[in-house]
Amino acid sequence: MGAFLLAYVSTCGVIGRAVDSYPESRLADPSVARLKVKQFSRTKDAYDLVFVGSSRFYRQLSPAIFDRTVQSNGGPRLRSFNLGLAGMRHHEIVRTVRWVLEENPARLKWIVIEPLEIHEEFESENMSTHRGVNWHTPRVTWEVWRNILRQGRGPGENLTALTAHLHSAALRAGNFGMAQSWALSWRGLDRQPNPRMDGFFPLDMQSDLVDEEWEKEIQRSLRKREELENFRRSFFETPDEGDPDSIWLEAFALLADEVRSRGVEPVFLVVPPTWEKWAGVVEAGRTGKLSPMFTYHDLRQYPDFYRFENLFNLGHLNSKGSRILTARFAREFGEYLSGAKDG
Amino acid sequence: MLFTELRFVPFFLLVFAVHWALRRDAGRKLWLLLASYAFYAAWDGRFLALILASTLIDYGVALRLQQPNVRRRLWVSVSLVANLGLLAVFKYFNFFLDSAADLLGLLGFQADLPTLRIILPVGISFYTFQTLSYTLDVYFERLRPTRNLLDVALFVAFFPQLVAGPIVRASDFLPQLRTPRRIASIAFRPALLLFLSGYIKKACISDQLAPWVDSYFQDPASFDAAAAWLATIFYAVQIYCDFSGYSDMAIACAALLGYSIPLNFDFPYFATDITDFWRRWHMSLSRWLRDYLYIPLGGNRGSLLFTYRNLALTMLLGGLWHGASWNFVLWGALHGLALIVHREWTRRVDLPPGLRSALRPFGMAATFLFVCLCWIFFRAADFERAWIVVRAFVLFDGAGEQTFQASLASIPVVLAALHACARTGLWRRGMLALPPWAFAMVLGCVLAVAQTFTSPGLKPFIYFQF
Repeated sequence: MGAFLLAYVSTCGVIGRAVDSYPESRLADPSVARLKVKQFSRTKDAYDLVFVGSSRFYRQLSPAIFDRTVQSNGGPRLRSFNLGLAGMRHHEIVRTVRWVLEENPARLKWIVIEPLEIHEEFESENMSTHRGVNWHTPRVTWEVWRNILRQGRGPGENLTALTAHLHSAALRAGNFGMAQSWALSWRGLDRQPNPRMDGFFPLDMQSDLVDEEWEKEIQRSLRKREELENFRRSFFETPDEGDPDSIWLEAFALLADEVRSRGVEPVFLVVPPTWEKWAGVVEAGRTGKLSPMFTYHDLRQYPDFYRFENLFNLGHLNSKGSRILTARFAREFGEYLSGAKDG
Repeated sequence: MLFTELRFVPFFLLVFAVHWALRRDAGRKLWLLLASYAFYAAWDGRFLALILASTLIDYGVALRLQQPNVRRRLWVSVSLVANLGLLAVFKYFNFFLDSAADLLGLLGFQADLPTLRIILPVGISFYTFQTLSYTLDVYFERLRPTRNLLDVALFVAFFPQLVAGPIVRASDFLPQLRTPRRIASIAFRPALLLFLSGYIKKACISDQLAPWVDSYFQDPASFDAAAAWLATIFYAVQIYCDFSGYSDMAIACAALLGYSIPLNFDFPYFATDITDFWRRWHMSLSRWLRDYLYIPLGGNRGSLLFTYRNLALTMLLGGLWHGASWNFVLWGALHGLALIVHREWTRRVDLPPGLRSALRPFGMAATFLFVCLCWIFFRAADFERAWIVVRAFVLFDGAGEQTFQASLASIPVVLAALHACARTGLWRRGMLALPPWAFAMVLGCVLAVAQTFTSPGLKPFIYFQF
């Protein structure tokens, strides 16, 4: 038994190292995630700043506009890359941030992170996809376990959730399904990213990447305006004030420390459109528990982002809205840098 | 739950550990029964009721059949009607109804018959045949019925072969349940090797060929004739590796728990004629059909025509057993026809032994190509697509623009060479000759490599649908 385990674990380790030498091979081909990871790992030393977050980052933050605007507002000349992905949640964000740090990009100075709330609910159909498996490193899986146990759910629910994540972690450790994916990368046969790709694709310019019928449906409902009103109402119904969730705050504070310890500055960014006020998150930013933090989601402060003409659907801005958002953040980020420089 | 799924590992380890930790044989059997029901419930617990119903009916009928002055035919009919009735409802109801509606349509009547939305319970064809073998063996007085309900229930539900065979017969399995199992008598190394080889067949070969096969059979009209050949041969390899891989893993799991399950495959693509093929392919089904259908129909105990009728009927029903579709019926009919032609050929032509040996490679190639041709009907979604593939395969008439890379043609050649190697038993003997630590290390390394071919998502076994 000992000899079997020794051989099995060592072989898995050797294969895992080979797989990690082509990080994109842990992601399914063809997929945007794979393209982005491949592009970043091949050109990582060119970037000063990386965006890591959900589709609200992926679809709404244009590195080209950001870089230009920062510089034109007195900030430094920099180059950024958007590593945001549709459906990215807290743990995948954490894993992606750690992966960026492990890659050790020579010029990296800032990682802009979307401080999403921690939801331990999982969609079982995603748990055994390449992407779902990829972020289940032993460390992240341990953190997920800890969070699950701290959330005070019933033992049955806990067991289901714990085993589901353990299963994904075991699939990752065992390099399940990596052979073909790795061979594609190794032989350079998978899709090649566009060298000019910066990771930003606004939804209304990427109709091939979304389910057209679904998007049309959303657009139709958006056109009713009535839906938009409901959306606004739902925003106002959420509390104005609130303390940050302790598990959430601890997770992001630790992540921020981790980023800082590698000589990189974490920057937290909350973007529109959202259905709620994120009172706890805002509070954490305001009191300096999580800083620097930039927030643009508040309907009262930033009504532009909730205008029909700037929205693609109820969850995303269109390319016009994205330009406005990116430019606004870039200006304020440039000012923040100037302020920091001036002391 | 699939044998290639990761969650099967803790499941089996737990079953194995508790099974051998229990001292009393009745406790072990009860534990295996509960584990088997849990294994099945992991797919859909609702259909456990069907297994339980089959078990209770056949347990009761078998005991009845042993009583004096009982109407034996009536009681065996109860079992047949109940078991085949369940199979008919869950597997064939919509097929019969659709066929009836089509027939009425041909006769000029417009019939709008209701169809039922029925989920096909996994493994129903397998365990129905298995449980029927118990009643039929008792009916034919080949076996004495058991009063032990636990034994019958475990025989029907034993998880290694519950959902996709091999179809174990009561006369083979029930005697094993009467004898206490001993861990000392388990041949661990051959069992582990068999499991690993089954895993490799499924994960590294069958699942890897599936994407090409699927893309071709989805729209065969868009491919050329070379692609038709490759896809058909790939499918022949895929279905063999899938099903025999499952059988290997089932036999290995059963062996590790102390039970013996009959072999299901014996290198069928090395068969030199179609009769030989059916002695090597899905052997447990072939034997079942022979003993419970062909022989009761009269077998070859009558005129030649009578024998051929029995052969044809057996193969037609064997085809229908695989699935509720005319494609399967045609597949069975083609095999039945080939068996009749071969029997007629051997009756009429008596080749000298030297020539017979010389013709063996030709016979092997011809048998393989015929089997491939039949697989087209087995795999194609409908007749229309099947004919497109057949035309491309037989007449090289493939007008589509798409093709497969020429280098893919090397895959069947390599696999055939590996298969021939495996047939010699060299690597098996080599592995078994290794010292225990080296055997364990090779096993660990090979498993770690093999699982890199296993998709993290599920790819069910082809024969689960039957």
